[in-house]
Amino acid sequence: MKFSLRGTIVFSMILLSFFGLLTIMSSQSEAASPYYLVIRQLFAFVTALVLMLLCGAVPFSFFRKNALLLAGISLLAVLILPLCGTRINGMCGWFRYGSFSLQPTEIAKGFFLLGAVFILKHFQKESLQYIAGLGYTLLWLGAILIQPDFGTSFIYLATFILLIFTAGIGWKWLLGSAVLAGGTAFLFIKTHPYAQGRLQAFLNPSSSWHLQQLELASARGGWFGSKLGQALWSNAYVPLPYNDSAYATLTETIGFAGALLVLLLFVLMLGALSMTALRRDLTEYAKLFVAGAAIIIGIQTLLHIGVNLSLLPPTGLTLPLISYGGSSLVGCGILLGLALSASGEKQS
Amino acid sequence: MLPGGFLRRELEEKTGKQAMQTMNHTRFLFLLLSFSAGFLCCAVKGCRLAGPDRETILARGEKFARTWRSLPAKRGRILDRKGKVLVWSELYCDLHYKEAGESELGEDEQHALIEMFGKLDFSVPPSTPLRRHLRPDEVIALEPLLLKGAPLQIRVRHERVVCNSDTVRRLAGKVALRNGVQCGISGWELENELLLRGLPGRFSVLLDRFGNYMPKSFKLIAPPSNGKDLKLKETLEELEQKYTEPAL
Repeated sequence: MKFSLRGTIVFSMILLSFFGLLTIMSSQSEAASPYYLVIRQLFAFVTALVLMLLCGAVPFSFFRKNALLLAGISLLAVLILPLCGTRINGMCGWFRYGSFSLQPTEIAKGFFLLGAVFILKHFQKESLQYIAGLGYTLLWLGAILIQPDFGTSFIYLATFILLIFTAGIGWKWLLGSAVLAGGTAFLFIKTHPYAQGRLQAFLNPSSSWHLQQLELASARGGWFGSKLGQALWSNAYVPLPYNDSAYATLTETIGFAGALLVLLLFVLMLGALSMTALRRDLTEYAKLFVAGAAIIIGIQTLLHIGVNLSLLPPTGLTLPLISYGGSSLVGCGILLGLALSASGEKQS
Repeated sequence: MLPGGFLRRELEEKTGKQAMQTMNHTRFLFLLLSFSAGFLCCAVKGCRLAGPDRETILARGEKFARTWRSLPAKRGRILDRKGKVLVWSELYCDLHYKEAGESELGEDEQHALIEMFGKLDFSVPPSTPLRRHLRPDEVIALEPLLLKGAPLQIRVRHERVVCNSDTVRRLAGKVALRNGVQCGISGWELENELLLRGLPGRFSVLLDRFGNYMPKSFKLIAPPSNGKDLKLKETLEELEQKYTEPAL
C-alpha cells in the first residue's frame, strides 16, 4: 500500500509535468522561438524530479529536526530579495544570474509548511499554537508582501488557516482567523483599484476582456481540442498563456476530454496525499505535513482552474506542475519529495 | 527544539486549554470534500464551455476578432502577336506604419529596423512606405518584430511594369488603384479594361491583439479570378515601325 501511494504521487507528478510541457509548447506555436521555453521547462522538470526523489529518500526525521533551520534559511532568502533581487513586472521576486532566475517564494513552500507544522506540533496549548503559528505566517507574509506578490501571499495565508483547521484548533481561533483574513481582504480591495476592477469584472463577466478571452480559449477547444500548434486564441489573445492562463491554453489544445484527464490526475495526486495523511501508522507530524502539502497543491490548483473557467475573479496564480516556471516546478518537486519522505515516518 | 523551554512551559501552564494532539480527521475529510466539490464545479463549467455554451461564445469571438478582406486579382498581361510580354504586373511588399506613425515606434524597434535595413527615415507619414520593395528574406526577418506588436505592417502592392520600349509605354497607358484594384485610366489599359481587369476574391482571417493576421485562421471565401491576357495583332517591331517612323 505504501509503495502504491508513493508510486501514485510520482506517477501523477510526471504525467502532469508532461501536460505542462505540452501546454507551453502549444502556447508558443506562433512565437519566433517556439521551443525556447519548452527546453527550459524540460530542464526544470528533470531537476524537480531528481530533487523530489532525493528528498523522498532522506528520512523525514532529518527534515523534522532541522525544520526551523530550513524554514529560516528560506525566509532569509525571501527577506533579502528587496536588496539584491531583480524586478520583473513590478515585482521584486527573483534572484537573477544571466539567463538563470530563481523565485525563492515558490521554492520555499515546502519549507514554510515544514516550519508551520513544527510550530503547531511544538506547543501543547491551543492559544500558544495559534499565536506562534500566526506570528510565523505573518513574518512570511510580510517578507512576500514587500515584493509585492499578493497571489503567493494569499496561498501562504490560506495554507496556514486550513492547516490549523485540519490540526484541530478551536473554533474561536478559526473564527478569529476568518475575521482577520476577511478584514485584510476588504482593506486590500478598498485600497487597490486594480483589485476592485478584477472583482467588478468577475461580477459582470461580459465587461471583462480578460475573462472573455479565457472563456473563448476554452470554448474553442471543444470536446477534443484544436490539436497542437492550432491553439490560435491562446497564442493571440489570452494573457500569459503558458503561465497564469495555462489551463485555458491546455483546454484549447486538448479539449475538455484532455483537460478532464488533467483534472483527474490532480484528484489522483491529492487522493494519494490525503490517503497518506489519513494513515494511522504515521507520526502526527508526518500526517499534518502531508495534509498541508495536499492543501497547498489543492488550493492553488482550484484557484487557477477556477479563474481560467471564469468561476473566480482573476488572481494571477500559476497551475502547479503545469504552468511555465522552473522555480514553481522545482518548488512542487521539493514539496512532494518532503511528502514522500513523511510517508515513510512511522510511529515507534 | 525551540529555545526557551522554561518560558514555553510557564506560558503553557498559565494559558488556554490543551490542544488536540492528533490531526482532526473529520475536518480533513470535510476539506477534501470541499476540494472535490470545487473540482466538480470546474468539470461542469468545462463541460458547458465545450458543449451547450460553445457556439454562443465562439460567435462572440468571431465577431470580436474576425475580419473580411479582399484578395486582389492579378491584372492580365499585354502580349504582342508573337507572344512577347509587353506589359505585366509584379507583386511588391512595402513596410508601412500601422496608423499612428513614428510616435508609436519604440527605441528597440527602431534599432532592430536600422540593423535590418541600415539608415531609415522614420519621420515619413503613415501613408508613405517606410521601406519599399522588401525582399522575401526581409519579410521573414520582420516577422518576429510584427508578432511582438510593433506598430508596423507589410502591405502588398501590384505594380504595372512595361517592357523597355517608349512606344509601348506611350500606347499602353496608365493604371490607377481604385479600392485596391488596378484600373486602366488611359491607352490600351482603359480600352481593354473589362478583359484585363480580374475579379477580386474575398477571404476572412482572425486578427491577433496587435492586429496581425493569424495565418492558420485564414478562410478563403471566394478565390480571385485573374484578368485575361490581351494579345495584340502586331509584333513589337511592327508597332515600333508603325508609331515611331511617322514621328521621325
